[in-house]
Amino acid sequence: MKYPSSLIQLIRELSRLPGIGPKSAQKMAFHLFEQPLEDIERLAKVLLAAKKELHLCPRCYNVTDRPMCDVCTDLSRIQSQICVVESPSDVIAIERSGEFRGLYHVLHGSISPMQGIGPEQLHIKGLLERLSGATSDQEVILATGTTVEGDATSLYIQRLLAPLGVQVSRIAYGLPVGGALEFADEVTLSRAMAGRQKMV
Amino acid sequence: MLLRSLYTLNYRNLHNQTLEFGPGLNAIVGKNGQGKTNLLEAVYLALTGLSEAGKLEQLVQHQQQEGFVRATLERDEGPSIFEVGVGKGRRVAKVDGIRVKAGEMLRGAAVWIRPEDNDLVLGSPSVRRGYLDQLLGKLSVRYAAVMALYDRNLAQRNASLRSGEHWALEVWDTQLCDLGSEMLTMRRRVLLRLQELAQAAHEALGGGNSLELTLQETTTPESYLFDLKNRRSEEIARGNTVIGPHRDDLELKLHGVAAQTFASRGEARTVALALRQAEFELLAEKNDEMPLLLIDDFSAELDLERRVHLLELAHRAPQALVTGTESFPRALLTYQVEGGMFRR
Repeated sequence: MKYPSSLIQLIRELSRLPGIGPKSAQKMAFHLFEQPLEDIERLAKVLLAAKKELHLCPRCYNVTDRPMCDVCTDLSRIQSQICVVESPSDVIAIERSGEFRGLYHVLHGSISPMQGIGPEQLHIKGLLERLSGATSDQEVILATGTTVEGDATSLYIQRLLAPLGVQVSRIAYGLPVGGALEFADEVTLSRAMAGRQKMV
Repeated sequence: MLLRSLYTLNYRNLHNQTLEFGPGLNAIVGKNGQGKTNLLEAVYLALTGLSEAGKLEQLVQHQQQEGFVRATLERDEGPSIFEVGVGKGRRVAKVDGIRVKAGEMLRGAAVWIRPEDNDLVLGSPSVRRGYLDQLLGKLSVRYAAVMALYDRNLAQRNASLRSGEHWALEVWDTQLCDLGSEMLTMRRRVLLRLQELAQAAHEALGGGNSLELTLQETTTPESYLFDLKNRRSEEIARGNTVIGPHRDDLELKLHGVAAQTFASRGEARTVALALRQAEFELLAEKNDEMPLLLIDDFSAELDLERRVHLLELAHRAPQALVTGTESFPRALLTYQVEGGMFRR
């Protein structure tokens, strides 16, 4: 038996979502089919609305539904600190910690020549524009991932920023809080050791 | 460490059965193609989670979906169970019932001696580099981790070289230099002792005292960045990183000349054996647990004198699994194998 073509199309579209394989897509398609029409209409509306209303903040490239995002418009935040991250979900993670009161800059990826992603494909130019005319009070915190690609991206940005005279720092590598030393892998442990902090 | 028993399920041509082993020399005797090598591979897989025999799914018996091996070990801290299940592109490793990554199993648990070792001497530099990298990985988890990062960087850098836009090439240079230098330093450090042990083994094997091991390095930690810059145009033209630890060779010399070109088959066999013995002794020195010795096809291309020597080595190891076509004198335990079925 052949599947109806609209079902095949639905499965194909769903399986393009990240983390969804053909089997999950098929399961989801049958599930959607069994739902009442109004539920599906609501889902479709929400999907469309989200896509139409959401866009990138012109300053920090985080996702927002306003002309400029909440963080960028919040004047109580420390304007002289910019935390550079790979994705909008990193912003949410850092915000959840409540530790950081500065601004963000979202790159939307990391440099990966294997996937055809170079600096031009990331929002690095926007960062440089934000920093033009910055003084030595300005601090840039590079919080890209600790993968090979995340490290490369940080290193690349650090080199670009060097002539601007702003302060540049890299988020610390280290042990997970609440984790016992014995369970840390070798590289994490040796990086944590190299990045040790003086106590006395 | 002592291997007490091995259970295999759907593993290549082996019958699903539990084999028991004792300390000392365990002999596995049978004609060619009966499953002797497969058994050693199964042991290696169970201990290290790694396969030297190729793709994981190739380890599974014909017409079966998944295979499984379980080793019962006697370790200093008590008995322990190592399990590895393999299927198409999948591997599940467990130690005492807890899931682990393959890298967290006993990487340095075993040393293989087998006929293909001749390639160490007569084969291309990549074989010797592989020997060195594998040995260092067995000695240091750190080396294995650094090498994995190095390989990832290298792949990104090569992609950058080929991209035409040379994305962030200087950045890859910096990272490659850091990681590559660490590899070079660790290789140099290990080579000193490896050289001594290999020379002694080679002499004991009757090969004379003229074996030399030297690293043919394409760059050094001191000149790494400079060399990368110098070779830039060549690397862009070739779309490949032409210097670094992934291009180095462990050169073997006999009587001052390259063994790869000038050694006879007999000489090559002796040198290869010396390298494996050195590996065994180095692991025994540096690691807390003595490695298990796996000798495949014992008598392959060896004359009487070298057979006696190898047998002595096997007896010196706390535990050895030795395969051959004829039975072994002084073996603690002998399995006869036919068609994948083992009988004591």
